[in-house]
Amino acid sequence: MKKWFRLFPLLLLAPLVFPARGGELEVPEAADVVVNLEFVQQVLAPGSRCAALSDQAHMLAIGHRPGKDVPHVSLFRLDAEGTAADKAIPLKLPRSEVLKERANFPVSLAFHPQLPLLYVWQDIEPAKMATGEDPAVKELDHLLIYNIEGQVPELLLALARGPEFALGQTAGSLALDRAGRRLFLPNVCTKAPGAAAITPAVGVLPLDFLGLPLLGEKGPAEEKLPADPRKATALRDTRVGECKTALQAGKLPGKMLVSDAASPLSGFPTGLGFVPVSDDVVIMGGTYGPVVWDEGNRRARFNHFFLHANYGAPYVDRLSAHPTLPVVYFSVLRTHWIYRMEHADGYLTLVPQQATLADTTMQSAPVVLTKRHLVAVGGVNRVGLPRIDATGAFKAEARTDLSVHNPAVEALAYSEKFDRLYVAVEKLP
Amino acid sequence: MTQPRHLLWAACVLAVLLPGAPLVAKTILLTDADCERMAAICADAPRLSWAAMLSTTGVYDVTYVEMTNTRAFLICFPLDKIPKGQRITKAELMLPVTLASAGEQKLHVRRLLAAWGPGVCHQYRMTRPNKVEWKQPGARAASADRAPKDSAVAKVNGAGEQVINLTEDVELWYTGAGANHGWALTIEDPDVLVRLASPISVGKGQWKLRITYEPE
Repeated sequence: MKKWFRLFPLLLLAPLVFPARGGELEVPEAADVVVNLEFVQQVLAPGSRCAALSDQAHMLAIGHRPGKDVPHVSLFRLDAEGTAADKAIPLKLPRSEVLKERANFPVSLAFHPQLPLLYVWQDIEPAKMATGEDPAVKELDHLLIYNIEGQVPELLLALARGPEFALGQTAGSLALDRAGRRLFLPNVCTKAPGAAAITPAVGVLPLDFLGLPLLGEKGPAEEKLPADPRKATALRDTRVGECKTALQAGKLPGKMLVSDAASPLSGFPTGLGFVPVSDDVVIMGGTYGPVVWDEGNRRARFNHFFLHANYGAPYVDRLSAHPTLPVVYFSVLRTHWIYRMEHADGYLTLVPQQATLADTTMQSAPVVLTKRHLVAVGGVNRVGLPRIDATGAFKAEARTDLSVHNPAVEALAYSEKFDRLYVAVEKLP
Repeated sequence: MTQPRHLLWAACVLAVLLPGAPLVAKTILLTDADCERMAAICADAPRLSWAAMLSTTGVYDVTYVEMTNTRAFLICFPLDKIPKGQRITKAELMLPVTLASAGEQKLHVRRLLAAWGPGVCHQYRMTRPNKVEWKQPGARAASADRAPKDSAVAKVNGAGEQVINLTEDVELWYTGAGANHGWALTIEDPDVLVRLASPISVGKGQWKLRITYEPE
């Protein structure tokens, strides 16, 4: 009897409760962490914070944090096989004499999808002053547009200065839509009607077929780039001149659309990634997670997704899109989480998948390697490479990560054309 | 008891415990983490899949799910974890209510009859691969979008876990007598609010379906 009694606790365990697995995925730790992968080129670019790549122009751009003997932006030409040059073309961003004692720096880079143009969003370290307006408000041009056709990048336009743009931000993204007709801007200031206080916002600057701010309601009558390169250059120079005339009059060329003051954006930085889906709908990285912005719907202009309620830090979500599937990804900086969510016409839908990579602390936005069914995310001296399936969902499969010399891998870019991932590092392997 | 008999009893207990050989009733606990389909649809935001809560004018949030008579919450739990050859003896849906209008409020639960998927909203039951509208916006058409009658009406009296018996529905789906498209939760009375912690935000893991089954 006594021995029967010993077994009763075991019998009481039935009926048993078996918890089931679901929308949260623990991605197994990397089976291998290697120093070289054949589809990855590590690029020497100390102090890197952002990157962009153009398959059209065969160029990789890496933006640097302020530092001694470090350019603002390093441009690497890609050869016919997609190998980035060893030597970079250094790019120094303009800054007015008034601000010469302060370090300016790139925050985000973006290439035009078809034209040889590089867009740079820059900012400056805050002024050390107790009162009064920071002189940089009137002196710093945040948006720089470069022509990258020649041996040396040529600054075409410097614009976006003034109280409409926040200062001292180290995050925020530039993005263009697929057609290259809209440029999305971070860190824009707006005000509610009748209000004195500034409200965080984002902006959309319409572009013409030359990739320059669209002046007037419609573009030039002839929306085709002349075949003759000299005529094309002349046309572009004329348009640049028209933009500069507007700037000299103290106006921003073109008509920037600014998001409504009543939005879920609580502070700066804003625009932590943009995924333009249609003329009206864009998904953007907001204060606490992705935000669907539907400018065509006043009653439901924003849909805000605060998914990591157990970690309430702001400004830590970094958004990017799958290039071909209706899926977005967002990493949560300084955590081990990366999310995947579907959208339909830009409206986030169904259920998010949260993948946990216990061995990777997120430092960058996710980058999708479409041809390899991988997502790359920068970590601490590491690039995490979780696998995704045909729907873009993360898989709980063994993976191989990359070990690099960079305590904060923030600058990564993928070339669809060359099927190559470029990672900015402090030291080559 | 001699050692071999002790081992025999231990083996019998292990046979009971092994999921592949269920000889007694078992209970499985599914949560929102198991669901691949959930949506909070709203007449005032007809294209949003997650119009869960209006936090300020023109801004919808997903932190809480605020049920009113212009909204519906759709949820589908997969039942594939239940082995074949079982009989569902009990199924309870548990919801985290955080706030409700004063007095006893009714939360209606009805089986959905129409398939729904990506892009589900007040206007459409899916927009991919094709745009397909609900028979009546908001999944309201009886016998087309949703069952003609409620499966259950939960009586909500303030905050707390709400437990709703939905055994018949789960048995129906498990046996294949009806397609599992999940449930629509609705409020039918005007001027009533029932707020639930959102399953994709503050209420993660708190939406549960507890199913007990035994061999047939």
